[in-house]
Amino acid sequence: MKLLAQTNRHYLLISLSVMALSSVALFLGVRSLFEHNVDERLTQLETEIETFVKVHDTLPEFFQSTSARLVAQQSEVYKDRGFSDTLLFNEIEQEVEPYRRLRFGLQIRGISFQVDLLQSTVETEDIAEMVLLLNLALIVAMFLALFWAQKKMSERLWRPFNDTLERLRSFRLAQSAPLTFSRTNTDEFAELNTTLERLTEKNRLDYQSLKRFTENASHEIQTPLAVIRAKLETLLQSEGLNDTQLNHLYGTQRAASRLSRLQQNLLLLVKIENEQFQAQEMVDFKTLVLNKTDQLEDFISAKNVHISTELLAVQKQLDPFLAETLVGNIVGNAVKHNLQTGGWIKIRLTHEGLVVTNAGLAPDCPPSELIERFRRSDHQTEGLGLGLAIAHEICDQYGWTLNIEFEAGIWSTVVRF
Amino acid sequence: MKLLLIEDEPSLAQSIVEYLRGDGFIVEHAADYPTATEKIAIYQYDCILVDVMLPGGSGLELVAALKKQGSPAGILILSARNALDDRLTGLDLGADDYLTKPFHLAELTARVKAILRRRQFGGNSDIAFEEIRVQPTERQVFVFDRPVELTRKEYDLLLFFLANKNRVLPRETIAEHLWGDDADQMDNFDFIYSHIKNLRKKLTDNGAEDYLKAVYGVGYKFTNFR
Repeated sequence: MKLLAQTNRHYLLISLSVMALSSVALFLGVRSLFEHNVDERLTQLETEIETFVKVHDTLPEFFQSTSARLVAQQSEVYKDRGFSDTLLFNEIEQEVEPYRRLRFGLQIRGISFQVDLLQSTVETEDIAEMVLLLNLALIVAMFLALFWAQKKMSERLWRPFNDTLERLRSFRLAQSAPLTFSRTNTDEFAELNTTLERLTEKNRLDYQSLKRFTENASHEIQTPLAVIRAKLETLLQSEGLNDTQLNHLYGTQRAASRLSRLQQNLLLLVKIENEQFQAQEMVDFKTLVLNKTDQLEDFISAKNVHISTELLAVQKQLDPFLAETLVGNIVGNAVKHNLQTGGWIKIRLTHEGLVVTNAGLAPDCPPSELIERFRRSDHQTEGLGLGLAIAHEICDQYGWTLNIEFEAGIWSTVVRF
Repeated sequence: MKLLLIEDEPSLAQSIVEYLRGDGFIVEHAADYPTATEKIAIYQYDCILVDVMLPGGSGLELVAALKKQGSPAGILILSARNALDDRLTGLDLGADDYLTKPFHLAELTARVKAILRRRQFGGNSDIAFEEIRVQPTERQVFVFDRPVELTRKEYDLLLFFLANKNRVLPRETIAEHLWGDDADQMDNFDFIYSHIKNLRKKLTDNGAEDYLKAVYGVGYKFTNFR
């Protein structure tokens, strides 16, 4: 839930309860105020009536001028003077209305009367209700206005934060320029930006130096390795070597050549990461796949692997060398990691992507981890464990995805364009 | 046959020179761009092996200069891997062939010999080894002048052996010669064996002696020495 929504929810709950209470209080307050007024009026009338009775010894015939009604009836001596609420039928309005009643006792010429002074309170009720309604309407209007204002305001206030988030999202360790954020007047955000700038910059520089190290190390290894290989090859041609010596030399030579392949592939990986392959050409993937299966024909038939293809003519704009490496690594893997007997490969090329499925042994690690460097399934030890890492890096450069899965004896490698 | 090797790494250069001399070539060495230009200006070479990255200049410039002078020498460019541009530029400039580092010396020898053959005799020189004769232009093989039908791989294999006769060729070197980078895709080199076996059978069936000696655990050697 958004921060704004959360605070709003709290505000809303608190304000609603406060408003509800205040509305009730207002309603009651207004009503009691009116009641008080009515009571005072009735008391005043009572005094007037008593005065009138004292002078004229009869009940007054008035009340045209007021809305109060007077009802007197003979009774026992009435002592419980008091106010009460009652409902009476209003003949004019033809409906039952609330009335305030003052009941008191009166002696006229020695006869006891019980007198009711009645004042309709329908208007005061109406007014109180109107006040309540107005108050509620005001509250709703205020809420709406507040919401709108807060939304606008928070949009403006949070803009630097959202901007920071957006930039952070597009940040890549490999990018060449430092990550910068837009200036903001909000102290908290400015501080956040400064911290983030420092953090990302440090990471970026660390990553760069790591990359530089890999690159330099690969370069530096290259020449001595070439020397070692050349010397070994010369040594292998020496006269009078016995079988053991030859075997030692050959073993050394193979190790050296493995090291040299490792070095080349690492260097290639670094170069791809550094985006040093920037050629843009229309590459026909169908031709690429067919060429590759052609080149691997000897291996495919030697392993008795059955191969089937379903290829659309798909063309993409990319570096031709990277395209070749990508297809080569994926198809090559499918051949290399196939079954010894009854192996098969299916290659499907559509506009959505390249799907290579093949039979193979179960991996001893989650298939998705094979994308990591130096990760390989232990069934074979010849591989360098860099082929898929390179393929992944190439896919990355063009915004494609590479997925490896294994299910029920079937490997599938999917490049989604 | 006189060769010039232009390569700045002394240790590597020494090995290459030694290896090629073992094949009866006269090999000279230049370690940088100025020395190379000087040597090219003074002497005549049959084939020049040039590294692209040189102290004092680019090997590609040397190639361009050589071609401008109308030098008849064959040119083999040696360069770092994955530098596709270098390869295209080099061949455009008129280099005969291109070899990426690191390479096997046996591969280098085979390439140099192929260049020399094409250069010197327009490719018409036959390669003869005892009773075996190869016509490279026709890709034809004869034993006692009788034609022998070989597959493409068997033919490449024979030519590679002939270019490196009397030398131990490790299986890996053979695999890389025949399949290039794709040799990486092999789990083992066992299946080279079937190609070797077929080649040997076709040659001996046609009356040739068996010159293909297995070097146990390492590879093969094509030799007429006992």
